[in-house]
Amino acid sequence: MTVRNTRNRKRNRILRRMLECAALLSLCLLSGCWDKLELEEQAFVVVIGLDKGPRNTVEVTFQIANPQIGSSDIGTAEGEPPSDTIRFTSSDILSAKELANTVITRTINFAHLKTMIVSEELARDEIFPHIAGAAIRDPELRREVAMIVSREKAFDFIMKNRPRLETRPHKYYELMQQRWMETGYVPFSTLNQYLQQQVTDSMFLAIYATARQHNHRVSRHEDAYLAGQVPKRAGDPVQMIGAAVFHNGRMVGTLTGEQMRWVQMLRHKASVDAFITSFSDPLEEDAMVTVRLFKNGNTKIKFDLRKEVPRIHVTLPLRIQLLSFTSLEPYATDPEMQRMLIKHLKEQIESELLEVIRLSQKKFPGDPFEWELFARKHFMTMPAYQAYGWSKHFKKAKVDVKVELRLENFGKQRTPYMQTKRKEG
Amino acid sequence: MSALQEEKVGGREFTSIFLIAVGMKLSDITTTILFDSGQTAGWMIPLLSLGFMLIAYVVLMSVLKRHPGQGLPEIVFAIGGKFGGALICLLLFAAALLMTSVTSRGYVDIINVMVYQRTPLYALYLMLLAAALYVAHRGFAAIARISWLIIFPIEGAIVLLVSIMWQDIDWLRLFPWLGPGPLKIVETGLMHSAMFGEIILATALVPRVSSFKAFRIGSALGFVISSLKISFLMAVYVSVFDYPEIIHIAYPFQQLTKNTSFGRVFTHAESFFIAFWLLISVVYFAFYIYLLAYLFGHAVRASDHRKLQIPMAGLVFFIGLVPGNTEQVRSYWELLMSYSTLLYGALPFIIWMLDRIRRSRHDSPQHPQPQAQPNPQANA
Repeated sequence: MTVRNTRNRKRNRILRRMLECAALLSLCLLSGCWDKLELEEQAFVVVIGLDKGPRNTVEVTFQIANPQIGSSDIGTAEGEPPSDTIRFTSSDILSAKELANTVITRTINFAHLKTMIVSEELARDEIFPHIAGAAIRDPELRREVAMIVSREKAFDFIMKNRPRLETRPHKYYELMQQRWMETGYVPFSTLNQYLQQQVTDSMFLAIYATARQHNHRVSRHEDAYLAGQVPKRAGDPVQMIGAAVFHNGRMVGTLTGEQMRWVQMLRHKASVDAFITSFSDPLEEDAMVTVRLFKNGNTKIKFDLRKEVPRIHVTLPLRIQLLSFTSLEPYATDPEMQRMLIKHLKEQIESELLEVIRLSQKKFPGDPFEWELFARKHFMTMPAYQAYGWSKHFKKAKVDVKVELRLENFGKQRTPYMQTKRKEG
Repeated sequence: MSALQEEKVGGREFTSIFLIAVGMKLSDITTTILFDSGQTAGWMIPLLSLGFMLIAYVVLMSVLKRHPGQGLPEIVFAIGGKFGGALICLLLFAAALLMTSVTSRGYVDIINVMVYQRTPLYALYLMLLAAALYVAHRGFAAIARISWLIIFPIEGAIVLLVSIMWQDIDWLRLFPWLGPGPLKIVETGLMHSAMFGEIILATALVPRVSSFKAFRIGSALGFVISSLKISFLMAVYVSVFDYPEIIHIAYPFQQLTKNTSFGRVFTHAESFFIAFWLLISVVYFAFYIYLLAYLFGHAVRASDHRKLQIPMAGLVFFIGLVPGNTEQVRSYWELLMSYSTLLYGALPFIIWMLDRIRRSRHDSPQHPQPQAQPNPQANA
């Protein structure tokens, strides 16, 4: 009797344990249905375009990637385009996201959004800070999204941007991003920086681009262009060069590719560390000297804010590699000429830097060089700094620039072709 | 007593509990609230708060030293009598309960806002507390062992996070270094000292630790390292996001993890960090649930405080659901901080005074009470 009783009890206990286990296991299977994401049902937006719509609305363009293109699954998607572009007019980006599902079969997902294109018209509008500030609340929208200002409507820009060598749109922007870092023609601008530098004493620079050829002109300096002015024939229509300058979240002006490069050099931490540019030759008026510039350490910026007119001393350490010079003078072998060349280049760089500084003092309401960070160092408390008003003082500041130049090498040819030179002369 | 049957915890396990329980604050709403008033100098506040709390801690430790083998509740009962002891215990319990509720709600809010937006709040809350309860039910030794097990991967993950973000850090953004002014910083630091209130609550667990020395070293080390860690991470947040952008960001730690990527291929590294973060939040709340049951059990002199864990988790759940939205959680947190700072700050001095009075009365020749002296030794 007692044996049976204990056996029964044991069996009951085992049964109970099993039931408990089943209940726990079912928890694993039944839960997690609220935020489930089916990979097959996602539409990944890779580019978003923003235009000004009527009556305070915004026209949102989505470029949605077709994940089957460029994968091994291409067989089932033959004839499908690599991406689809659709525009919606809505009150903000997030409501446009839902609205898009009236057309698109899959759930719109921003998780892989890398690029945001804003038309210049909208960027200059007072509503833009509100739109950008509102959109960032969505946790799907990353702060690392690159921000590009297009001269024309963002919709036209996205429609026209059909790169021939890159089928997939996300790849195009991913590769372009690497090139921006290398050339320094455009600032590397993200939404994070835009939001950061939305304060009175700071300026934000965004990538300036266009898909239309504007007044095409040829400059002796290869980089003094704005987007749309680069002299090119054929190829993809999109050009990205120069910067859109923002103040208080609104676009207030532009910088050319050349100016942009110097601005990057004047910032204490540059996102670009080497680029190729050219200067006039000290010995021959028409000839050009092309060099590769390296930033040789951080830019040193010293402030003297004691007087009403602040004094700023900028020291820019650079090293250069001489790539080509059309004058064919024996710079490499003649130390005297070398010294002259270095002095000349130094003066040229200094004057170009000063020109950019003067231009921003005159044209812009603040400094685009992120010098406010150095100004902040001179104040103990935030209220004291805010009362000082850095941008107001920057505009009347006296700036002097000193370039420390080191000529590293002369390329893989030592002596120039003097023969040719003599014949010409 | 079943408490005696429980395994004792070694020094390193005990230290790692505090590294987790206190260090967790670098990832929750604590930092955001401190930035609000601390601005660019927000990183100084945790250090100041710890400084204030350490004064109270030292006073309390001087009392604890005289009562070997006894935790805060035992001492409080010994010196405050039945009524006074229960009152102080319940006060501490109430402060800890509200703290746990508001903090856990903050965590659930973070999960809700940053990761699972469509999942109802109560479901997330239930899951978090159920997991924490499960760990807590295994006992203090289990919590300690888990903490010791995961402490190195966690600290490693934080180091990894900072090193990934290193190129986005610009220390110049920490200027002006006094932020809103020295007076305001000290005031905020003092008002928010209760964020290290665990340093007082933890003394309840002295009997759980292998030796008093291990407790002393473990708690002091845990708190100092954690506050340095919080302070450093707060400096990193400002130097990545800049002021005033930092006060616009609701959850800087989660935002920081969102900005990370491992090279160009793995661009969404946040899930890696979120996984770690979820893991430690479970341990964190397991510790709290254990502590709550322990405190309440002692206050009402229950025989087995472990049985109180389920009701405690339920209480936390229901109180945690009271605030209507995330901003209300913040204002409740602020309110709670200022009141419990008073409690945690004043209590050690009261205990110290009561202890002194009692000792002087017992030592005085008019009332020779031989019964009073062996009391602590009997328990030890």
